[in-house]
Amino acid sequence: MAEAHVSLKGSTVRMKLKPHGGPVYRAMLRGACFKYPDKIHPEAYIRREREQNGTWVKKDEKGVSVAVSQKSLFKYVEPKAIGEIESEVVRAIRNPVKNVALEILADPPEPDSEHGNITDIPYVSEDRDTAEFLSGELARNSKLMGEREFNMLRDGVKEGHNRRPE
Amino acid sequence: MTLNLNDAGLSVSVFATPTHWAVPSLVNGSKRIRIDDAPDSARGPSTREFSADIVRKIDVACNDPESQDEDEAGPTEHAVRKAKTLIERVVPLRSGFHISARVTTVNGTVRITWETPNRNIRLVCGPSEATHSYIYWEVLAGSHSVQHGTVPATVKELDKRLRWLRRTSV
Repeated sequence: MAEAHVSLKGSTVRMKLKPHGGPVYRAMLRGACFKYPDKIHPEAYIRREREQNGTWVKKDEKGVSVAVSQKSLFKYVEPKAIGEIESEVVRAIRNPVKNVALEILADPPEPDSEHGNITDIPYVSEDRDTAEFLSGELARNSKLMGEREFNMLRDGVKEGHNRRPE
Repeated sequence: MTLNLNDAGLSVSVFATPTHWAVPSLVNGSKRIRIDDAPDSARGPSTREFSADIVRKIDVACNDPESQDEDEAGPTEHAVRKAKTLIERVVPLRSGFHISARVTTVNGTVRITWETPNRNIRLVCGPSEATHSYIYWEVLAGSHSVQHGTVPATVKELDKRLRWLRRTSV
C-alpha cells in the first residue's frame, strides 16, 4: 500500500510505494532477462529506448516499472517471469553520480496504487556506466519466482479473467 | 599441495600468498607458471568456448523472438557486425576461453556477458556508429559491485579485460 510522502518536488506529489518496506515485483517480458531456476540478469533493469536517426526515443519514461504484488503485474503486462526485490534493498542502492538513493514512487501517485517506478536509474544512452552498475546491483539482489509457481499464478490469473462475467 | 600430471609433464600446485589467497600454479620442471599466465593449452580442453561458438550464439539471439520485447527494436546490422568482428579478433576467444558467454539483444544492441563470482564483463555493441560501443567491467564483493567502469569496445580493450577476468577465475 502506498502512503503520502512529505516532500513535494515542484507541483508533483512524490508518493512512495511500500514506504515501510516489503517486496516489490518486476515483470520480465523477455527471455533474455532471466534464466530458471534462479538467475535474473541485469537486462531486467535496463530502461527501454530505441535509436532512430541518431537520437534515442525513450520508453519507461518514469523509471523501471514494479508492482506491489505478483498478481497485480498481470493487470499491466503479460510477464514471462517475475522477479522480486525488497523495497528497502532498492532504497539502499545509490546512484553514485547523482549521489542519491534509488526510490520507488507510486504511479499514479495515489495511496492505493498497485504500480510504481524505481527512479534515478539513467538510460544507457544518458549514462552507460551508472545504468550498467545499477542494473547489476538490482539484478543480483532480486529473486526469481520459481517456474512452477509462476506458471500456476499465470494460469490462475487467466482462469480468473475467463470466469469474469461480461 | 602438488599434484603430478605425468602425461602432460606438468604438476599443479596451490600455495598460499602472504594475503592467504590460494594461487593455483603450474610447475613445468623447475619453472613455476601462475595459472593466469599459463597458455590456454595448459588449461584443459573440457569447457572452452571459441569465437565461432559465440558468433553462433549471436545468430541465435538475433533470431530468437523470445529474447525481445514485442515492440522492441531488434539488434541492428551495425551492432551484430561490430560484435562479431570483435569476438573473432580477440586472442583469448580465438584460442578458447574457459568462461561461457551469454548473448542477449537489448534496445538494438548486442550484449555479451562473461560472469564469474567476483568479476564481470559486459561487451555492449551499440546500434550505430554514433552510439559508441563499450565494455563495462566490475569487481564484486558478495552481491555488490565495489569497483566498476567502462572502456571503449576495441579489440585491445576486450583482450585486456578477458585476461583480467581470467586471472581470478581459474
